[in-house]
Amino acid sequence: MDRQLVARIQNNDQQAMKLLYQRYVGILMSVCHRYVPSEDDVKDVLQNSFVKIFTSLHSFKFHKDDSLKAYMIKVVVNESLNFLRSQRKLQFVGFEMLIEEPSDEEVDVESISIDELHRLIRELPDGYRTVLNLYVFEELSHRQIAELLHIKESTSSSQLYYAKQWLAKKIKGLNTKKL
Amino acid sequence: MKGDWTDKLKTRLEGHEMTPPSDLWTGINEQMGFAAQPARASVVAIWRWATVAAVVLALVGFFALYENNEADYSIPNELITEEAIIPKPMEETIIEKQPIAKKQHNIIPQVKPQESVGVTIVEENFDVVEITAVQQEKSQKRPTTKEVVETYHHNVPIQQPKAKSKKQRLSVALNASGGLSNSKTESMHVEPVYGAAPGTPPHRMHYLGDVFEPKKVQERKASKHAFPIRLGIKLSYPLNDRLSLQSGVGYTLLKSDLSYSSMQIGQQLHYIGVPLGLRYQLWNSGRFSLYGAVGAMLEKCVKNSSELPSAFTYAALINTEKPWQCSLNAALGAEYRLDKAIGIYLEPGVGYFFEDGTSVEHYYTEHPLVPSLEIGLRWNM
Repeated sequence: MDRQLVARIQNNDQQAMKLLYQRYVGILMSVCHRYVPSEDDVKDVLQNSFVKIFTSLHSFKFHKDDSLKAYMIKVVVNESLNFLRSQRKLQFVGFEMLIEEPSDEEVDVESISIDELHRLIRELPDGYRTVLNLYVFEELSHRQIAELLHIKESTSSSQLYYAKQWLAKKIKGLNTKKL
Repeated sequence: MKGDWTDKLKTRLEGHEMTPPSDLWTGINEQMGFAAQPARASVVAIWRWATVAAVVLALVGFFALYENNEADYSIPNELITEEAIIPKPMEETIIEKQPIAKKQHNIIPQVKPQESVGVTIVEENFDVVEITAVQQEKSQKRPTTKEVVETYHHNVPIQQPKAKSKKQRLSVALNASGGLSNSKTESMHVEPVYGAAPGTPPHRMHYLGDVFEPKKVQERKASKHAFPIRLGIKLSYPLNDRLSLQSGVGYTLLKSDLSYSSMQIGQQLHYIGVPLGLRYQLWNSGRFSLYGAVGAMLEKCVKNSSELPSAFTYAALINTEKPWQCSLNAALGAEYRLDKAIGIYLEPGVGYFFEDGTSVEHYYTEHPLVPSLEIGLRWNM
């Protein structure tokens, strides 16, 4: 299906673009929403992302069956990071101490709904949220995150530590309320 | 894998979807510089030509049949009596739902052989088979009212049919095919979907924005596609003693049930198609003959009807595309001549159906390679 849609888009088929949009807009909306705090900005970033996807598919080549989806998510993440940079929301001053990650106690994420987990991540401060997203969901290493965000590895590590602490506290709070 | 609770966090949020802003697609279109989509004139033109071609082929077949009968027989005045049967139009056989019911309705002919054509209609799984009379008798018994059911006659007695050569002749075939068994294909692909009314196809989920129920999870459960049902008429034109060119017009019905968590969409696709192919006679011995056939078919979906439960009235949620369908077919056939003109044939075969380039789900999207069993009547003129 993806291969066929891409082939049609490479021939400037607008109907195929709409089909591709309909197929993936839900998941890309969720990804963008996890990075960008304002609803209005999410729309702008997502719109720019789709335009970049459609205009860059002419040179796209498949490696695996799901590589189109992975590629589209990557475009959305890059656009989100560009937007956050342009808004000066990626400032990490004062977070450069290296923190050894302690062995985390178990956090019960199963009892929290997916929408609540999504909302909690969005409520994280910009720096925490960005590093947590890149580390957990895009599976980047601290070195890769440091290169991408132009920060030190130790800053990435400490941001992740605080993000996890903050998130674990919120999740436990929600679980306690339910009891 | 990070080896801590964030792994579970990732797993839970992977595949999470959200409803986008309702005007997002409009914004993308504007930014891409697209105007409103023009009508696809070329497709419309192709469809018109295909329709015209199909109608012409069907008419040519019927007229050729009619003309041939007129030319073959002379009508001696002395044989025209009051007892001549009043002409009746061709009638289609009544279909009764009976398991493996196979009936023949015969009409007793006039002084000389008469010829009849019936339409074979085979429902799914060949549970119902009913064939109208194909009769050639020498008795002069008049038909009783009870005996006359459904048939087609020429209105005059026949003095002497023309001698027919053993060469291949122009032929018309009425055919039908359906499921080989009662089973239906079932595909399981679970897709969690968020933010949409129950039953919304995944590819339609988010475009319409605020018409959806917020944060509702719908899981796509399964697709059941019934075996295609086909009816058709084919005209064969002999190229030499063994080889003939075949074409005609066919109808195909594809039925599917698309299931979601709490509802089901019933989908029916109606296709009209034009086959084109070659038939090669492999063996011929008296009444029996064997042949091979290869060909291609171009079909157009002329009606895509989907049914939602009455509570869900958003017409835009249903996929209303009407795809084109191309296929290649090969078959081996066995024919048994009931008389010089009429034969009954059975034609097992296989067809390969190419992707139609749309997101409409149907039998061929799951099974591009489809076995078939065609049964029908062939009139050799």
